[in-house]
Amino acid sequence: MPKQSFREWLETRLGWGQIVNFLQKKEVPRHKHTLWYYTGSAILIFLVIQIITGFMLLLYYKPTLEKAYQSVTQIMTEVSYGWVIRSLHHWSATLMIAFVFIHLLSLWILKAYRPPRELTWMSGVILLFLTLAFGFTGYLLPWDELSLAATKVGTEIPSTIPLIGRWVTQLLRGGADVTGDTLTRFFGLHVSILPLSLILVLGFHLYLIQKHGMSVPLREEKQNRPLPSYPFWPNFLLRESVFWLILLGSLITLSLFLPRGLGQPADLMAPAPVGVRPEWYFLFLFQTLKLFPATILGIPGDTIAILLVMVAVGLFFFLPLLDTDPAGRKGKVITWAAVAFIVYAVVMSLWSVL
Amino acid sequence: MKSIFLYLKLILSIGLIFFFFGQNFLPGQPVAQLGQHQLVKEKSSNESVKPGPVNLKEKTAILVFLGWMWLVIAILIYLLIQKIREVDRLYEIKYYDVSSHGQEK
Amino acid sequence: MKLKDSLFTRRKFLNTLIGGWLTALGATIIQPVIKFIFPPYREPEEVILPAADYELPGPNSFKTFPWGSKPGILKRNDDGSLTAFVAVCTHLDCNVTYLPEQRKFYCACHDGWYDENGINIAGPPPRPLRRLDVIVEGEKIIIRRKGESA
Ligand code: FES
Repeated sequence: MPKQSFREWLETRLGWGQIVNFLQKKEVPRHKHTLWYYTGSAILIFLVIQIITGFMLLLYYKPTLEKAYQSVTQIMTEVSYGWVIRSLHHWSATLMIAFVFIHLLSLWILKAYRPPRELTWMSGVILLFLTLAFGFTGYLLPWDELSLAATKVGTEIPSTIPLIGRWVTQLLRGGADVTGDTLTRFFGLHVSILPLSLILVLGFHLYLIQKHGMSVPLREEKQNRPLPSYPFWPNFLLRESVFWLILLGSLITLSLFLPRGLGQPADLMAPAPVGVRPEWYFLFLFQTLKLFPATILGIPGDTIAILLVMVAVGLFFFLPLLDTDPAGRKGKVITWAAVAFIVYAVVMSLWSVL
Repeated sequence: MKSIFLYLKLILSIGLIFFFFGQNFLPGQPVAQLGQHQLVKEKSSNESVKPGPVNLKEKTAILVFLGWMWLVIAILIYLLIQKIREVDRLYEIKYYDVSSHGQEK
Repeated sequence: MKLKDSLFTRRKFLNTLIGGWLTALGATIIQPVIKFIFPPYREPEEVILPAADYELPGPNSFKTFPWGSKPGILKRNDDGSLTAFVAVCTHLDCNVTYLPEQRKFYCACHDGWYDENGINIAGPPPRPLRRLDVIVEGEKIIIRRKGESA
């Protein structure tokens, strides 16, 4: 007993050696697309930063109609490093969403959702929508002119869905209009309901990844030779940590050089400010909606647009079930659909900015 | 052997000195004071709040901070690359297969 | 396969270096975080009271006023001058009250007593009550932090 080191003492109680053993046995295949494996953990890094900076902002933020704007002003002007922390929260959100897109699109093109990984993909799509919901609810919280206008538009869009639309809008707003009640509701979503849901779905997603291991691209799989690989721990994780350090440094640099500002306080009675625009990740949808004519064959254009978007989301979610023949013609079409989507989103976003 | 640890201590202490030294350059209280001033301005003209450094002192503080941070990151990346080389070599000679867990940290 | 000793040394050396520089990076980043979570300290520089509301006709009369988020007590002395105190006990932060009949400040929390000049005389309070400067300027009574009146 006296000879036992502290490390051994802990080991008998925690059994961490098993985990290390497991991670050492877990092989990460090496090929020319290995780089895309890094995007997943980049999202996780930003998620952790979001949680930490979010906790910090919660110490000062007050989610009410009267106090919201004032408390954000206080964070930015009175609290030590307040503007830095808020800026970090903003930029980390931006980069996290960017990496979610990169992650999903790269997996789409590499067809990583092939059996048995269909559920991994579907949980990933749910995580995408949870992330976007975080962005949408968080955007309102500073309660400045732009966030109010964006939320009015964003919560009005579902009202064009036939039958249930009005009901959805009221549910989102906590009333017929965007008011202080909406702010309270969005705050609850942003800091409690969404985080808990995200952690649950993320746990499921990560479990599936551990269970099935890393997906290997079709082309490499077809060559029928054993791929070179290295263990997850420590070889792969050390490589990833190099990437994390670069991301962390870039995030801090961005936040310091391009700090997030705060507009004029929201006024429920004021006309919408000029140049109102959603965050960049909603721009392509925003522009699509703008392009639809007021009516098509007697049906409101918005209704058609929103139904089309819903169909697209459904197709995206069920992609693994649709792509039954990944190596064949159909598979190729689906890969090109991803490229077409990227081009479409980029063009639409640029169009709405310029 | 001894000389290696001597170098190690030297490098670490230089790092720590830089760290504490660097702290004095960080924008701490000035930001808060600047805030008061901004708040007054905000009330009078109802401008939107502009974040970020305002005077030269804060701007240099930020640059010094960033310089120091990237230096640390660069050194860490260099060390990590050395470590990666080492673990790759260990993997190639199948070192992990014979050693039990806990040997490798 | 048995490895040469030199490799183990090199590994330990590298691990220590990485650990050390990671600590340096962590410390660099944690410092703003710690500063952020401590709220900015905001005591008012001065408080301006309308003289009409604080006439305090007789000697030994008093009235409370807000000193930031703490209560203050403004008291007329026997010679007609005014004295202001931060009406917070120096023991454990309870609010105190003035008892004009006894010419004493009283803290109910642990039975603490101060005399009419705010000097602690009985019970646990370790220090006298904090005094503030009072300046009467026509219609205004200006109350400032001690020693900061120009
Ligand atoms: S707090 Fe006043 S006597 Fe203890």
